[in-house]
Amino acid sequence: MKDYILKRLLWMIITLLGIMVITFCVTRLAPGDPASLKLQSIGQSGPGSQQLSKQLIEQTRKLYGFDRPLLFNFRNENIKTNTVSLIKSLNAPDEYTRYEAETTLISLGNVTLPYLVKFLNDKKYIPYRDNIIKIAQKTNRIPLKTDLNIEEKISEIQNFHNAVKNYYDKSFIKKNLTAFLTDPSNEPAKKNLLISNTAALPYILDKAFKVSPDKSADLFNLCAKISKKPWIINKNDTGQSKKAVIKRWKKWWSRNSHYYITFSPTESLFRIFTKTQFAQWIGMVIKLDFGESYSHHMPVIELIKERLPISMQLSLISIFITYIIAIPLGVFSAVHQYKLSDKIITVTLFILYSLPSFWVANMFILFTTGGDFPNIFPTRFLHSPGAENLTFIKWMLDWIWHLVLPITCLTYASFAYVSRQMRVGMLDIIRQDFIRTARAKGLSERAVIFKHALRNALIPTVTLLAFLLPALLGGSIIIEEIFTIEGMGKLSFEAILNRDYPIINAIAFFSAFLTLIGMLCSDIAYVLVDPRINFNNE
Amino acid sequence: MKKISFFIIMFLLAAVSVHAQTAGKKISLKDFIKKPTLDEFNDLVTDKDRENEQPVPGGQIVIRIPTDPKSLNPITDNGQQSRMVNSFLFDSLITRDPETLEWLPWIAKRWETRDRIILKDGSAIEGTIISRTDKILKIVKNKGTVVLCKHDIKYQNDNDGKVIVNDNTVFKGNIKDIGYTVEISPCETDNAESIPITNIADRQDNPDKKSILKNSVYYFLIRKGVKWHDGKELTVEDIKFSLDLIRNKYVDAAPLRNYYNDIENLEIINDQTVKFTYAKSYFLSLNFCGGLTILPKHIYTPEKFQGDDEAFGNFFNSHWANRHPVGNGGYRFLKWDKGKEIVIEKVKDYWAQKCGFAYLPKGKPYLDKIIWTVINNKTAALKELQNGKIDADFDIEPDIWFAGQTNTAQFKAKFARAHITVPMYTYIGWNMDTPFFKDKLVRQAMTHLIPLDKIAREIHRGLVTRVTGPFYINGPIYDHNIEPYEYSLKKAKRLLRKAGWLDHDGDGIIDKNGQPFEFEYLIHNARDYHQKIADIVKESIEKAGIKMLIRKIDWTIFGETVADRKFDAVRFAWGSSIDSDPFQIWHSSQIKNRGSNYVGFRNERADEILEEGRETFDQLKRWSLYRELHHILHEEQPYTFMFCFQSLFFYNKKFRNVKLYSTGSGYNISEWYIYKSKEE
Repeated sequence: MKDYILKRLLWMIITLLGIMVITFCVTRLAPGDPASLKLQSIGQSGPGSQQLSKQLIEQTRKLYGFDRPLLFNFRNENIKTNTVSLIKSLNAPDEYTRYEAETTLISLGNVTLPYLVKFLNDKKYIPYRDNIIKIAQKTNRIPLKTDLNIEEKISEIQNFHNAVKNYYDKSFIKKNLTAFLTDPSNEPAKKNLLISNTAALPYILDKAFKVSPDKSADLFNLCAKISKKPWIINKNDTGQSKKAVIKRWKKWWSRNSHYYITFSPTESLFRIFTKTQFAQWIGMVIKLDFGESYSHHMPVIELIKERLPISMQLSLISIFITYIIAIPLGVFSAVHQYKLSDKIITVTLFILYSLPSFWVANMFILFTTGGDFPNIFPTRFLHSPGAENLTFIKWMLDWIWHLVLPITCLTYASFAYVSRQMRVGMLDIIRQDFIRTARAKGLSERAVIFKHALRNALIPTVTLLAFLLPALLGGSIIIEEIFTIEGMGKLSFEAILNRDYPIINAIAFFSAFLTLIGMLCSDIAYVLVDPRINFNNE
Repeated sequence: MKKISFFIIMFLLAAVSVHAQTAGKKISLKDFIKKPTLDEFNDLVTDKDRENEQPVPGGQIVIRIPTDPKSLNPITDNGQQSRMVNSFLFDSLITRDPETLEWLPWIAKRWETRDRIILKDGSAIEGTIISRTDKILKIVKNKGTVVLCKHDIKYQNDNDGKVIVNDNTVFKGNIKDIGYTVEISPCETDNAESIPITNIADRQDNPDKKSILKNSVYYFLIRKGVKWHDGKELTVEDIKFSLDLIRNKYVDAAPLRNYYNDIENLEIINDQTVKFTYAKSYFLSLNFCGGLTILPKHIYTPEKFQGDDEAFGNFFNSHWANRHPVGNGGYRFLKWDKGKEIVIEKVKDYWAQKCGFAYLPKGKPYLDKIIWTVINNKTAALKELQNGKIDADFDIEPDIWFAGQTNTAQFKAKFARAHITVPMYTYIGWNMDTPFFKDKLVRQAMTHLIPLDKIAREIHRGLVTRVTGPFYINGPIYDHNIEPYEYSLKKAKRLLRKAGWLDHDGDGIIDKNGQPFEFEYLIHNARDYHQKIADIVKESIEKAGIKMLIRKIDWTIFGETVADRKFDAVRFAWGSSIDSDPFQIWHSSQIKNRGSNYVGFRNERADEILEEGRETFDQLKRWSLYRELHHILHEEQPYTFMFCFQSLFFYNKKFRNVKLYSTGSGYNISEWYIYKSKEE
């Protein structure tokens, strides 16, 4: 038994992963994405051109994390490829891309110089020469006379690079870094690092993340000076604010390191799988943090926490009522098989089964909630506004009064299904030998049916319950919409309309998980209620 | 030749009618805008009551909203519900009179508009341009046009143009009376400086033009004593913070950012003055900078993030104030019962009541509380209205409007059935880069073929108005003299024949150059009446020998498909407003790169009008320019303009002082009050 459950649990993990891959693919392959949906509302916009709104779509996509590839990241981003693409963007047709590329390049500082020099000598980059010179000049403050021609400018830049080459050298930077670390007041080392500037940034940060917090303060402050970021650690800062600054640096570096360094082959391989939307989403699932909804701007878990109790009370009560009513009906029909009463019950239940719930719900609202008709029931919500101030008894009555209509609409259709199940199960049992024996030994009909037959006939029906677990979570879109109940059904429906992926993914994950758990439970329930079933010797 | 002369005549006609509208007598704004009737749909109100309407403060109103807002952040949430609630909580620098469209000081005590020219050496000169010739530009340096309230004026001398305001500032210049405000602009006698045109830099985006940016600098003087609902005073820092927020790319406000991208910078001049500098000259600039939503900086504490825009953006996007906004308006936020109701209450010592505004009556806003309650289901909403649980429902659909229960004498006695024309229009756009709709004659023929009156009657049940152009039908630009194309198979056939579309091969479908007239009509599935309209159109144009295929796609990809221009004809709609800029939709530069001119409309004169219109700050001049555009569009028929819709609503007749405007949402609950008869 234990082995079996363990095996099932392992399988469950694999199945869940598969389900998640599928939901992920389905959501991303569905046409339309939240960023452009959000911007569809722009309509007639301001003085900017349409490239602008395209730019805004890109910004929003980035904000939501859609700028990454879906499953595999073959972009091979590192300092070289990024510099190339930024240089190329400087010739882009729209001014906003140009502007972004230029500001990014300038903020990168001198670290790109070796690559820029290389590009200047490369024939492929001739159309970009002007821009490369401009950027090299700006980021390194190279004094170039305006009357020089391009060739002369290039050789000037080359000369400059040869002169400062030493400062880009790994061992030179590391030497200075060690000197600075052992003695922060070592001015020459500090000066050298400042000349190396952003080229030294990866090494300094790397070191700073490794050493203890009280030592790293000087290193971080040096980084702040180089990269012109305001995140400084002061001597008398508390441990907490120090940690906050370090966290900020770590975050910044994880987002921007690919602009500064080349990755080792293993790191590049690692990035292929981790820098993707799928990895991001799986990471969230593993941490059980489903992120923030795009439209509500709230953690998905909080949203589910708000809605789940509402849907759950509806489904629990309706399941309970369904079983309470349907099981006796099923038993009754089985006992009175083919009699008039059986037929009447069957026909009635099937008529109920075929009535669409949205129609019934609207009929209830039309005829029982006032206006020109009697005002018997409320039209919406599960409590009256201000119900929290009522006494407990009154609050309960108010609640029940509100529940009548939605619960009726949720239950009437499932009577047919459950009672049919029950009827069939009962008929199976009644025909068996032990029932005949019970009757033969003179037990009353009542004792035969309720003591011997019912318990056995219940087995298949009870195991059905396990499959209802996911339904508890799902809620009913139609009933919630008609009676204005803010439950899970509406949440997921709106999420689908708005392409709110975090909500969709979280709900899909929980439903899959609960379904699997439910199946496991029903298997276990079989063993518990029927000792003849045994998993060990299949 | 015939075609050309026809065009010239049409053009002359257009010009003449525009001329007739603008020249002759002196025209003021009021002639263009329909004044709303008080309590138009309330028959309990007599004309005598209308004259002596005396609002009394007190009471509350319960309004239905069909869905709960997602959040109440005025910057990141552009949903209709959140915008509606926030409009009561947040006031802006300036406001606009809904009847006269006059801009009025609000948080700003007064404002000054200046022109700016950029010289070749990169320096800029601010001031007011007095005159301009081909060679010389005259500018009064560092002086602009000031708009201030009449009730702030202590002393005014019209002869020498001297005005002294109640804070003892002295202004001198040409005084123009606007209504509640006066405009003081520098006059020619001021020391104007002459600048040779050759010294002025060319525009970066358009080298043919000089960098003369009219009305591109705005100074706002912020009033003292404007209070946030938590008691703190509103400062210029809040204004800068709000603009920085919108422009932070990690704040989820891209739609809003679009409007503020052209602000070059926002400078804090002193603790009471801010200066917006625009990179472009644009007639809607004042709308945007004056209407900026201001948020309280002290609530969001951006200084804790030390300039980390991304971290602050994330923090702001999910800030607690999204669910509990702190505003500065006439109402304060009280509570939001998620999924049920939102309650706001009147601020007792509203700062605006202490400013002596001539345009803010005492006691306004009148209602003590406004409650929005969620009812998804429209039948349930009607029940709640009849049961007295709600007072107004602004989302009435046509089936409820025509339902028997809402047309009984009993219902009508208690509730007003109001309707207002919404500034929007629907249309069928013809892709002019397809062989079918290249020719103007074909497009005119198509309009002749579409039974618009029948569609209005049968599909929209008469709740729409037919339009002939893109401008709001009750607005100042729309020209009612334009004769709509009538439904006529004969005329359509004649036009098609003239364009060369004839049934050469006798298969019943007209063709030209061997290509049969068979096109695709694109619709989406969000509303079922699109299919019905498509069927009517299809049936009707088949009579002229044209085959139409209906392609129905999902709403979520509809916008993209249209932007990619993958259609022959499309039924779609545009929202507009009383002062909208048609540039995006009609300028030929907006065809490429997924612009809004996806039908591919190219017209030289229209381009000229659109470019000029953007930099024309005189409303009347701009409107007559756009009127000409209306005529061009009617002649060219890039769209078959269809209808503008009515917004329908019910409200309890006890609410009085209800005015329906052609601007904004159409109604303004802050001027409503509850009527109590004298006997009570």
